[in-house]
Amino acid sequence: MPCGEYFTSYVSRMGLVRWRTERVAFLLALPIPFALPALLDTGTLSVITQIYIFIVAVLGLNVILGYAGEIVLAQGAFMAIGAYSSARVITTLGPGLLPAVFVGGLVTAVAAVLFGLPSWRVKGFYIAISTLALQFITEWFINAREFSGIHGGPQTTLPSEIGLVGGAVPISSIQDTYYLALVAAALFALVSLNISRTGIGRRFRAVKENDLSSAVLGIDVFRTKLLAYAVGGFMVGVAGGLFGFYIGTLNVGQFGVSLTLEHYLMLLLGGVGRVWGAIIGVSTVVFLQDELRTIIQEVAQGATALEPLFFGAVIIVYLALEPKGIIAGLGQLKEYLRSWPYAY
Amino acid sequence: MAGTRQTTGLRAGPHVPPERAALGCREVTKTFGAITAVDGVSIGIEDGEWVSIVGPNGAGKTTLLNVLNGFYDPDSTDDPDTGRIFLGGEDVTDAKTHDRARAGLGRTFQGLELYEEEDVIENVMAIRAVREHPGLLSALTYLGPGRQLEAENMRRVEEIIDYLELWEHRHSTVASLPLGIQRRVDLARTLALEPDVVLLDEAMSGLTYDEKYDMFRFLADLNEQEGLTMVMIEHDLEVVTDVSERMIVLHQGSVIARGDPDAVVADPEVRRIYTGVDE
Repeated sequence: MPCGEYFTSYVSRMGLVRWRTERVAFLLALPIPFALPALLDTGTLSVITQIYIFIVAVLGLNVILGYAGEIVLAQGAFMAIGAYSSARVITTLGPGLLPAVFVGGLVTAVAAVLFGLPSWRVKGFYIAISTLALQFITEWFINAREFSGIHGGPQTTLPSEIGLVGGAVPISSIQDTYYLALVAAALFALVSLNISRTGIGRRFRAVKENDLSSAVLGIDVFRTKLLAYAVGGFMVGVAGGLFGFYIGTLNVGQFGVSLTLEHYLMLLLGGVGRVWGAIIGVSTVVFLQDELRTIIQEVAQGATALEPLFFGAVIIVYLALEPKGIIAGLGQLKEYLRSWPYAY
Repeated sequence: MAGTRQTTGLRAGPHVPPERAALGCREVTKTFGAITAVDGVSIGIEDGEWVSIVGPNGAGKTTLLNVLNGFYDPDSTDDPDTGRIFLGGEDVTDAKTHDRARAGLGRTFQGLELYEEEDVIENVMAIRAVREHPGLLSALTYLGPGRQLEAENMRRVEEIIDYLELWEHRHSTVASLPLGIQRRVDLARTLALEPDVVLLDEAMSGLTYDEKYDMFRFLADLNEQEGLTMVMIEHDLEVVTDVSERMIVLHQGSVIARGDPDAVVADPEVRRIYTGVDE
């Protein structure tokens, strides 16, 4: 009689859904996101759509910061580059949403790599300052009307209906956008998990942990960092393109330093370096934001400072209790329940 | 790749010509400001040899290792034949550190320099990924050959872990392990590269007698059975004379003696440097 589950191949041991309970849970949970549009009102659906888009963005940040250990303070700029590039492609060439978002991702990847070049010589807070420069340059560039021929103007309105590729499969309603964002979030979550369990992710983490021994043992540290900038930048750029379409009208103010800090909050709260950490962090923060805004609207209208104050307190208290984020806390809970009622 | 043996005698030049050695350097100098850490050193390590580099603190041993693996560039010279590093007969002086590792030069660290937040398997897998890794698209999709290659890497890493008797620590975070086990993880990581030559920077430092015994058992097997060339920095002369085929003594950045370990240890000049007493 079998007394447990055992892996009989390395491939199965390295799988994503490895245990029987995981497979059952996965199959049971799979239909839920697809059924939500039929169950929820458009307001809630819109919030979840934003969560999916931000999951893609924070997963991109996670590749650069969580995996490769590079502190980038240009998340807002990356989103803006993705959003404005995609919008420009849509409004001028009209190839459809997917090709436009793809181009937005590519342009962002190139920008991320360019501003990651100083990582050849500097690291830590020095590279953070270098990327912060990109934030200010991007905001200045998009606000500069003389460059409107390139970026299309600081305020760009996108058509409310765009075909997925060319004119085919038009995306217009919040339900359509929801499904598109869901597929994007699932796809990039899978890509992130694949990065993490393959040599690329291991080299990223090696460079983060110890760049000296990594170089001595054969890892091209600079190239590895640039690859992280490219992959992470692409993901954030794609999220920017989707976010642009989601909000409809682009305004550079939506892509400021505050967006960068917001995404850092999501990642830190969820768990840096963990895909599920990013997903949980984004979901928690966006839902809390939404609820908090409703409460503030009802009880203290105009007290907009309460929101950052609340999240400031949350991050300080939570990280003091569990520096590795919610995902680590859940891991401890799982271990506790697994061994309950005996400690050993 | 057996080199042609040169002159014998403790004050003679390299055992084999550096350019034909498994690892060699010709008249390498490394200065830091006014301090000359390595001064015109030439060595030639024969394929499959176990050579120890000894010397008092500050003799330039670790600096020499850092120059050999490219962490430091040697001082440039006017003579194109000097200040050169050779690996497997190739001039690698201009090769970057990571390229030398990929060309077959492994190394362990006195200060360990492990990936402390990762477990043992991930530490070794990270370096295995240097040796064999799928392309970007194959890794992102985790399909076909990419998946098979990762599984093959895992199989090879498990072999190394078995070889170094690290089974029970496979899933332990490295920072939580005792020093003796961490030194084994350091060696496992280097072996994942499948190097031709390994530089061992005080691989026994801080180990208990039993841990040293285990480490020597692994190193001796690797040298004798796998033919791995070893260059070891070690302070314990008893250890060095027991295991090394040859010994190189550095003092103030220069080679003052080299050859058979017993003969070198018996040399009055070497004894004077180590004990500070003329005999």
